[in-house]
Amino acid sequence: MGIYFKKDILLFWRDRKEVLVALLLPIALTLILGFALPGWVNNSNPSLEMKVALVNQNRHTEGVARFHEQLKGSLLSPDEQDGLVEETAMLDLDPEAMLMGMFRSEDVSRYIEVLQLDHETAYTKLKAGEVTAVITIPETYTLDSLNKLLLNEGDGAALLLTAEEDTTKVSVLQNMLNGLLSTVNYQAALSHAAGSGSDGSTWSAPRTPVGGLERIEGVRMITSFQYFAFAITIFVTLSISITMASKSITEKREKVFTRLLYSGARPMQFQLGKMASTFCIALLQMLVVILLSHVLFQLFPGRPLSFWLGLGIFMVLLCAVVAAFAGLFTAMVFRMKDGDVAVGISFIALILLGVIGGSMVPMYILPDWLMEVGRLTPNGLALTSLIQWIQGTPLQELWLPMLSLGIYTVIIMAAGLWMFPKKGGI
Amino acid sequence: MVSILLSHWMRERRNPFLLLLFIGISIIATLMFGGGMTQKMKIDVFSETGELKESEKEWLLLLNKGDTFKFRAQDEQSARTKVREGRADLAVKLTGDDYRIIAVKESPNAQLAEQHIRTVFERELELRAVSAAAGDEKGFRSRIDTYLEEPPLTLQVKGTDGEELLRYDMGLQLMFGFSLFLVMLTIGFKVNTITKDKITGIWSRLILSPVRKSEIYFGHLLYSTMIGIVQITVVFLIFRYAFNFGLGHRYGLLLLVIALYSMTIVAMCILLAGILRTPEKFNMLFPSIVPIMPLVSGVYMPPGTITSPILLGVAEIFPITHAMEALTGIAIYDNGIGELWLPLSKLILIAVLCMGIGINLMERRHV
Repeated sequence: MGIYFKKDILLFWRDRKEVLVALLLPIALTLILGFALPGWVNNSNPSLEMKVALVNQNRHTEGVARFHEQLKGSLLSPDEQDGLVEETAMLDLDPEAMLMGMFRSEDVSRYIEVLQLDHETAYTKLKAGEVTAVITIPETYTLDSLNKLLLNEGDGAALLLTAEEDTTKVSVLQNMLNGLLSTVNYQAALSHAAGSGSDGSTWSAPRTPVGGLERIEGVRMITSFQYFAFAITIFVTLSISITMASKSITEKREKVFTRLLYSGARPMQFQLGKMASTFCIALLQMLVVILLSHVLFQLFPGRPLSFWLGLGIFMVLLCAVVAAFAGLFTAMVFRMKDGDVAVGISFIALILLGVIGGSMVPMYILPDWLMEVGRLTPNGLALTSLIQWIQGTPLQELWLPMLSLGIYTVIIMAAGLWMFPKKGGI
Repeated sequence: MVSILLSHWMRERRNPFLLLLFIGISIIATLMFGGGMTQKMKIDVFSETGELKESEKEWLLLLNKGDTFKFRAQDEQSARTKVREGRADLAVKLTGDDYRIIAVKESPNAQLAEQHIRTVFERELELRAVSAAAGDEKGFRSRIDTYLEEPPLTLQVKGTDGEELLRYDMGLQLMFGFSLFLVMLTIGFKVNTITKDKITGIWSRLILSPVRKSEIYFGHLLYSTMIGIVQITVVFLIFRYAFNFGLGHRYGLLLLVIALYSMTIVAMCILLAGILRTPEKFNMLFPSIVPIMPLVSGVYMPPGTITSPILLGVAEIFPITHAMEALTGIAIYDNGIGELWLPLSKLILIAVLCMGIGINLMERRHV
């Protein structure tokens, strides 16, 4: 078997360039994706960074004054009028101040920059794409809102949000403004409903929910770097099995295999040599990619040796599955009349495994049942158990995926050996 | 050129299995991946005490009032496993009148969800406190509900043209994305026959025949492009008529984009085949390169999520970016050719460049 092993390693060595590309690809991709979505790594969210224009056409003081005038002309008693005037002062409903207050708050100002502009400039900037959206406070905003809030007259006031198209940023902004407005609305509704029943000051302060993140002892958060590094590496490792099978097409075409048989070699050894070399190449590639990413991106700072050993166990198990796949695909190449059909089928199988196993698309966009199937695929199993291992799950709890990976290896290998042409079969 | 097309057709007729398999599986896969998508993000909710109690079911109803998230009851075990295995971004644990977020991965979704849940809880608790003080709980709630039906302050969202801002359809984007992604595999496989022909010597015989070189290439290009068009069209028709996806009403333009995209992908595959030379090397790198393109182009994410200039720059060179822009433009924003010329001309530019360099490489090197 040793000599076959050497032959296959040499085959890879002859294609150094391609192997190098396969090595560099996942690293480059992790780099790109890790930088593209840094918001996943630390809490500020630069992917949502935006500039917003605020156009204030509202005449606040004039609105308040006109409201007071209106009150004087109304049929309300002087006492009630005074009460309402007092309430206007208390409400402090300057929309500009309210919005600016929100935008200047620490959480929001980190990613939203507000420019106070006039109508024309704001719209030119919006068209030029310099601002994401324009918030307009209409002329009679204060008056309309006071009428509705205090007297329950009119249709209320509306802020205007203008944007070019519906993007995530616009929905975030929309959510934020809606949240702010609905808080005011809600308070108004409460005092309105309570006002007609009790005097409004009798209720006890409500309990606020504690909420927040549940911290579990010993569990570490995963960063997007870690997630991508593994998801992509696993898929690229898996595709080594296809590489190996494609190399067998050449061996079939050049009748290498037939010649080997004439020399009295046992077919089984030929295939075992393929699997062994695939295993080594796959493991080598995974190790290089993970170690290099670790050095470049500080993937796992300060983890003990036992952590790395556990990582190693999963890598070995995954590479065993990859080796078994290589054996199966090779057997298919030799068994089928057209080797390309065999590679084509393996190729489709691999892409499907990659997609449902979460190596190529974020898993949560898949339908539920596919997600369930996906966690049973070998790459899905490897990915989920690696994620759990990074979080600090003890190895004892991960024996099931480990065992499953082992079972996959045995079954796929057995299928490959069974399919592989026997002596005299070719 | 007709003879080249005919030779391809004869090959397919003698051995239709593989091509049909490729097209069939791509269609099924698009249906599988794209069909079950919902707009809302699903979040599992479980209770500390096991079964959800009546009061906790009320919370579930309240949480589901928004339109971004869909909360659903799950048992604790499976909800936690999902989060731990990275298959869900977060889950929510209800503890009477309080909640905890379960998450192990940092994600913007978790932050958004937390904000939503927090508001729902704060409001409801306040409402309960106030209505308890007011006595008449039912009347109080209905008064609030009627008041909020016509709230004093509202937000109007409009496009620059003064029309309603169109809702973006993420399900449609994913369907487009998957069909464009999977067609690359079929086309790549088809183009790889050129390198196979070279190795088996068929190419040399073709060169000796009276068929001109340009006709050979053009025949290959045309045939693979047609395969691509057929596959995408079938997928779109299924989604349009079986799943009722709204594709807009400019079908001619859609077809134009599909045809240009298929052609560009053929050109890209010819470039790859020119660089990689043998079918084996093509098979080795193609499956690793292709899945990266939709990922980098942001096909799986809502538009505007990716802002990194590096990533946007890299995405520019992938045909799928521009085809997606054109397709979503037609289907969602009802864009006409006036708005589409930019992505379409970018597609053509990529096609011309790839084809030029690719054929040059193929001609220069000998196997």
